[in-house]
Amino acid sequence: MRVLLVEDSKRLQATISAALRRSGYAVDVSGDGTEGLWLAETNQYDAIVLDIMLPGMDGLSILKKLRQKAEPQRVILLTARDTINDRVHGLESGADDYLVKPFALEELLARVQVLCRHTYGIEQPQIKIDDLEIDITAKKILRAGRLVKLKPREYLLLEYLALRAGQVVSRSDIEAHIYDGETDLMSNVVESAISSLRKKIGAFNPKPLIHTRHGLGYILGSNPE
Amino acid sequence: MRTIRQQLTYKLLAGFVLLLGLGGMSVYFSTRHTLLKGFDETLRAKAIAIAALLQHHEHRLDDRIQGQLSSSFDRREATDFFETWDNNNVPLLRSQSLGDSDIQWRDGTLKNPIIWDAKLPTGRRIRAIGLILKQEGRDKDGKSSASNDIYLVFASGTRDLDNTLSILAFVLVATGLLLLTATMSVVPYVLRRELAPLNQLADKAARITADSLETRFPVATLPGELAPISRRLNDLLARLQCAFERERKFSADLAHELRTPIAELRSLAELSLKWPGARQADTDSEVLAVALQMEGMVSKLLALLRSEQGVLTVTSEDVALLPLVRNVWKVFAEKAASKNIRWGVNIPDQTNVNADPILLRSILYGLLDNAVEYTPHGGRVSIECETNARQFMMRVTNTSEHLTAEDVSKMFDRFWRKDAARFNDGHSGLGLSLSRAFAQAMGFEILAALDCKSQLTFSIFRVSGF
Repeated sequence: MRVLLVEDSKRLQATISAALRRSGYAVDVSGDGTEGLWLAETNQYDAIVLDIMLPGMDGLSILKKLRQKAEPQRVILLTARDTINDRVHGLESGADDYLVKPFALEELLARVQVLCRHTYGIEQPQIKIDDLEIDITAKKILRAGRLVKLKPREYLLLEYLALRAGQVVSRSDIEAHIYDGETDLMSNVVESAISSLRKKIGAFNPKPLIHTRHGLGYILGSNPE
Repeated sequence: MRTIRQQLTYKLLAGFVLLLGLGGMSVYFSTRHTLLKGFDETLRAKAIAIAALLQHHEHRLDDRIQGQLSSSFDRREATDFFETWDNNNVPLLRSQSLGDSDIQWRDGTLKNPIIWDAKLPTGRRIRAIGLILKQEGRDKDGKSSASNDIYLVFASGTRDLDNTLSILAFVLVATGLLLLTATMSVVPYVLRRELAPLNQLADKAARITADSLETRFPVATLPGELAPISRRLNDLLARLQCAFERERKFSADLAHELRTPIAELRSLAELSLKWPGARQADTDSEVLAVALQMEGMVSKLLALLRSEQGVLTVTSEDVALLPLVRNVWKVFAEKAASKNIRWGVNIPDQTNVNADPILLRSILYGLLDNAVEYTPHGGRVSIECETNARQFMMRVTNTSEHLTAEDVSKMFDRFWRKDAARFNDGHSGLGLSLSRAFAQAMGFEILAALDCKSQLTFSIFRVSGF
């Protein structure tokens, strides 16, 4: 999952982005409203954490511009404004969620995760494909009832494929949602990650679940057709 | 607790009872006087008629005369009575209506008769008049002899008069009681109705809370006596509303200003606790910086509060201005140089200002800090001073950008910043409020003005008469 954080406080930028990355998200960070809008418009984010008071352009204006362009990104507003009117105004402007400072990091992470799930129409935090079980909340993978240990990036890739299970996911989609702007994308980085993932989830059951559609991308499912 | 309505009710009723009593008594006694006067005139006329009859018949009333008078002096239906005596107090004549009773004699003359009230032994109340009839005495030969005066008392029963007066008294008392009863009902009703606006004011005032200070009392619909009170209450509410809104805004601003540093502290701590390996080397210094930022804000707020409450200790001495300005500028010189800000001072040597040196330094610090922070790259900051024996004027001017006249009017508001976004630059939006508060504590004032060339000038001057 790829998340955009637009927040002018350097300290909050550092802590929130670190927490998101530790939780398995690819994170892009901006401290300026104008730059934040540009990033949101030019990348595919699964969720955007948006401060309201920003230099350049305030968060509500960014949100309105995104909604005017029918950008589908899920947005959680992060602000020190705590009155009912502020919340109502923020939600009416198109925000999907609203979190008041100071907040618990755990709560922010949980809300971001819910937003990401909703992006793909998944209501439950557990996804089951054949004998593969993915617990998005606990970040835990079971294959044939046995725990599969994955690296963070591998987990991200599997989670993304699981959220779009049954659909062909292109290489560019994977790049856009799994890797942030700071990652140096080599030409075969996605193929290498897919290969590694196949080995690890096939360790307890050789039945393939990740199938290649040449020229199109990859599909996760028990039945390749 | 006695209310105005109760007091008015009691006093109006007491006044009405007094006036009613006095009025009733006046009617009664004037009527009684008139009736008695008429009664006495009749009594006198009847007495003189009897006297004339007696003189005409030489004090001898034969049966024919007695018969003529019987209708008036009939024993059974008697309303009039008379009795005569001679000089020796020997009874001469008496009406049959007297029966065995006598009427007590009192002196009186024909010209000046005496009238009095009496009661017959039978218990009958009468009103009597006494006359002396002068009679010259004659002997057998018709010659004059000693006088032979006749004493006449004539009386009439007062039963009809008494009945009339009793009926009058009864009517007056009954009417008075009726009026009193009606008044006791009408007065409270009228007072309640007329004083209803007071109750409405009280009810409305009772419903006003800190959340409904926008309420206003009606003025146009109130009686003339209450309209000024209503206007004063409205003025008071307007002042309270302003004060409450200012305090609410201050509280909201303060909470807002504290939320971000608290969020920073919390996220730093939670990140370190959840992922100890993710703890950055500068975490402690960041925590310290946030703490110092919050401490600075609290210190400024306390100083502002003390200044506004007038509990700031202010000393006064001659302060050499030019060395002070140069000393304060040193703090910002490096930052100004990094932004290519040009700096100019036009303060005559030996310029002294009578002020508190610490507060004056704080004011200069705040103004120059603000100037260097918000002057754009390549701009200019200048400070100049005009002073004489009576006046002092210092101006701090800097190049500005994107400022409007409305911004200038809000510059001294607590927590106001042009850009709503809060940077981690150590500025809390309190510096200018604090500078103005310090200036006012010393008897100075600070005004801000923006000219057409986007030059922002803060003028510091002594308030005349301070």
